[in-house]
Amino acid sequence: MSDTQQNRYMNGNSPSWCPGCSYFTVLSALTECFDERGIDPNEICVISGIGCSSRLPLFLNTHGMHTLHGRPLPVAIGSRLARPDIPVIVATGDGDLLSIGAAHFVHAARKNFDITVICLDNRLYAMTKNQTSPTSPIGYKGSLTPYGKLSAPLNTTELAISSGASMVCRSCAYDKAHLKKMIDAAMNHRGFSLVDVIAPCRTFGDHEKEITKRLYDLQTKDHKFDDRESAMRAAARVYDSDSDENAGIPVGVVWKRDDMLCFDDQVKLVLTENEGKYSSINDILDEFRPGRGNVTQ
Amino acid sequence: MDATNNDAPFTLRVLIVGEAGDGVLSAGDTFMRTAAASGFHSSVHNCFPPTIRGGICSVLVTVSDDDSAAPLSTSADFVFALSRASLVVLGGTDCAGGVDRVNDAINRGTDISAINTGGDGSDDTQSFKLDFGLCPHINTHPQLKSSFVIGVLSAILGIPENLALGMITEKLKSKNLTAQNEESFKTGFGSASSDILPALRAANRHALRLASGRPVSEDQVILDGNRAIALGAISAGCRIYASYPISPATPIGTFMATYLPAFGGFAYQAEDEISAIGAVAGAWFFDIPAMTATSGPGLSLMQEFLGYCSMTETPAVIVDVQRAGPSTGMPTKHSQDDLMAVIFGGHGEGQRIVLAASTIDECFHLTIEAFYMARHFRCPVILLTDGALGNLQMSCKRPDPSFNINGYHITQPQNEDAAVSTATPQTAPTHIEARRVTGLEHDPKGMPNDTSNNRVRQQYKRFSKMDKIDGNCSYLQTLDIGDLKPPLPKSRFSARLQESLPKADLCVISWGFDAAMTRVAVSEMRKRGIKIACLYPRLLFPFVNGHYMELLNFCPRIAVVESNYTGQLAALIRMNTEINPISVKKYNGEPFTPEEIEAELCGIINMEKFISDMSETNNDGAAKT
Repeated sequence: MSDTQQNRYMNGNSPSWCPGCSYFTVLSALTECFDERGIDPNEICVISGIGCSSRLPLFLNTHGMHTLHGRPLPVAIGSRLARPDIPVIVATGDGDLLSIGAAHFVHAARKNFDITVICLDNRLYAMTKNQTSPTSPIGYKGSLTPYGKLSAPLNTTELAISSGASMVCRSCAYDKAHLKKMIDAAMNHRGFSLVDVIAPCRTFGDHEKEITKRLYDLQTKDHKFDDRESAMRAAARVYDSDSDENAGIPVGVVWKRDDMLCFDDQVKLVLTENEGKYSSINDILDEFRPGRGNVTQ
Repeated sequence: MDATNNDAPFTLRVLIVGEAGDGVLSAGDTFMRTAAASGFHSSVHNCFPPTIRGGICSVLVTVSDDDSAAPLSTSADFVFALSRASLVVLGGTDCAGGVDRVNDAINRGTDISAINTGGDGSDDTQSFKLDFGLCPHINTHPQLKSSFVIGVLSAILGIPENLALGMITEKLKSKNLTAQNEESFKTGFGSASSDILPALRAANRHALRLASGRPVSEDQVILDGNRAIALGAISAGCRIYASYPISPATPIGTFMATYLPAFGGFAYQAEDEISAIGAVAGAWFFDIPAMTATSGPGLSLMQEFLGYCSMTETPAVIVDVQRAGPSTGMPTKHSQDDLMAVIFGGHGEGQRIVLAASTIDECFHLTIEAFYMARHFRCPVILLTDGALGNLQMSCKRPDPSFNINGYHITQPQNEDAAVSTATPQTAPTHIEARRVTGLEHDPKGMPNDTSNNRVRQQYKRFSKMDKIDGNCSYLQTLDIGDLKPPLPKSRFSARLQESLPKADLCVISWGFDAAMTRVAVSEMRKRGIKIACLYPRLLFPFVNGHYMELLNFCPRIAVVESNYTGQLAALIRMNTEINPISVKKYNGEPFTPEEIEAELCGIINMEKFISDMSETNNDGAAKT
């Protein structure tokens, strides 16, 4: 913990997570990544929603917005449109991103905004004290589902790829070196990138111990991340370990394309096309003088 | 020709009613533009269903040489019914003036008619059948009826053929059917030029005034409420606009999407209204002026972010083009039923500023004001308009893009939360010191803090900054006392003198589009010697108590005119003052016409007189015995 507190990206506010929480690793991986990239804290913005994961920007001294439950992506889009020179990281969780904020996730991914989303997936609601989340396994017992979760988990990786995200990677909070590599790669990517981080909850989750052994890196398995079929095949395996105790959990870059339209670039094109069309409001008003035929509909 | 007196004030109204798909809105738009191009003050009020096909549409076009002519009226000089169904609908209303003639036409089994109501109280009404059969294309393309009607109107009113035809082709330049429209226009023109024409012309003393035309004034533009807001926003430096399609606010976005990129900004179509206002908050975080516009259900979805902006002291400009609710309600119909929702909607207590525009000019200038206030007071500013004003298209004085009433934008931020510099979007990046905001209760540096002391200090800070709004600024309300004497300064001699001054018969308060119609009604009543004091507030919240109390100097009877069921402004006045106003309400989806307001207000005055006469009689009786 001491290394995160001394880091020049930390604001001195001590994180409000439970001792030993996997999120500390994500926080330190992120700030170390900033440090290695030499980012000025005034030139990056971290935006979050609500939940344990979303407390993250409150510990940083970068630009930070702790917004509403499920709504970090709309705010991130507004800040990207307003200040395209300032990169945006969204720190969110499985409840924030995939339950209440699912519509925003699908559309931000589809539009391929140049935003890096780090989803701290603990597969449950921790801040409200243990309820099932969209990614909880079948049968998971939360306080609102005492007889077990009645539905299958949402596959974040598949959803991101099919929504149109141009980069989707997976990592685990227990492998900091790999996590740093993934965050760095996602920040390098122009377009919507998701880092889906397996980050178990120490207080309510009881299924984290086996995880590290089961991880396998797709990059060591000759995975073709720019091929849609390979990517979807790898994505389909992420919850295999829920039902099969011998199955592994894929991490690494699942999907990445550099040839997809990025919204930010498209906006630039529209602005360039329109540059100088009108020099003042009076130019527009001239079009609305009687007899000029500027018409409705 | 002798029926035309070129010195008399001239106002001509044409009502066109038809089924959706008949080109009714198109006809209204084209006729209004034609009249404006002839140098007349013109307006068109639209009424249409929320569907693309089906239902009845109507347009009321007003043409006048008087720029204060109301765009709404209970009567019209000419009525065109483009189908049997629309004629029947007309017969059931009193919105046409020549009701008898309409009913005649229905009884005679006529399906489509043009009716000269005689205008201005003349009994000499006529009607004739619109013979769409003369133009075979109309069978397959009912929207061609609009050109036919413009043809008939041009013939009756003596509008130069090429002027009206030019307007039609200009409107259609990007679409097909140009040749068919021209043919339809000419057929309509020809059909009216035959035997019916001389009688129609002679009967309407205004008809030929349009033929001669007037010079088009240099400072005139044709705008509607929605476009005026979009123009105001760009003038105020708005660079990010985010919205989701919703009637009747969508045209603001259409305009922004077209013009904003030329100014280095962008109009973003979000996946829902929550996302739209979220993007607005994200842009303002970096001090880039941003706006969203919505209506009804969209406003409901935005409530949580309105609270967020209040809590984080993030500016936001939200335009609510009100429509009749609750729920989906009547999406294209007029209403003023969101006042309480924009002031109090959402959980918790957050400070907001609520403005309401009543004219196209105010739509433009109050939007600029909204941006200044948002940036200065660092809270959401909601500008209310309504469907009638948003869609009302009229020729008006060119607005002033450099308008700034209070110079709010040049003052320093008021607190640490607000400490950001200004920046220009999409251009050279400006350095901004990194800062954090959170919707949690927080200390002045933006760090979560829910201790009691901090809560009290922060809540007080967020609310007390609103005291600095200059409520007396004349642009934020109009107190119109006509020829009544203003109250005397308080002194020991003035009380009796004040007593001896003539009192008003009634005080009237109105807001939004209804305020514009109330002005017209009041000016008619004053012409008849009725004394009225009026207050038209444009800053509706924070509530400026003093303005309302001032009315009590003129008369204790205060009426509030507004388009909703519960009398929302009246309720707000009861909450904040000792005034117990009389509510004058309408909630059928159509705005008040000046005639209706006049009748309501006269009714109140007469009833009050009746009651006071009765009590005087009783008192006299008691004294004698």
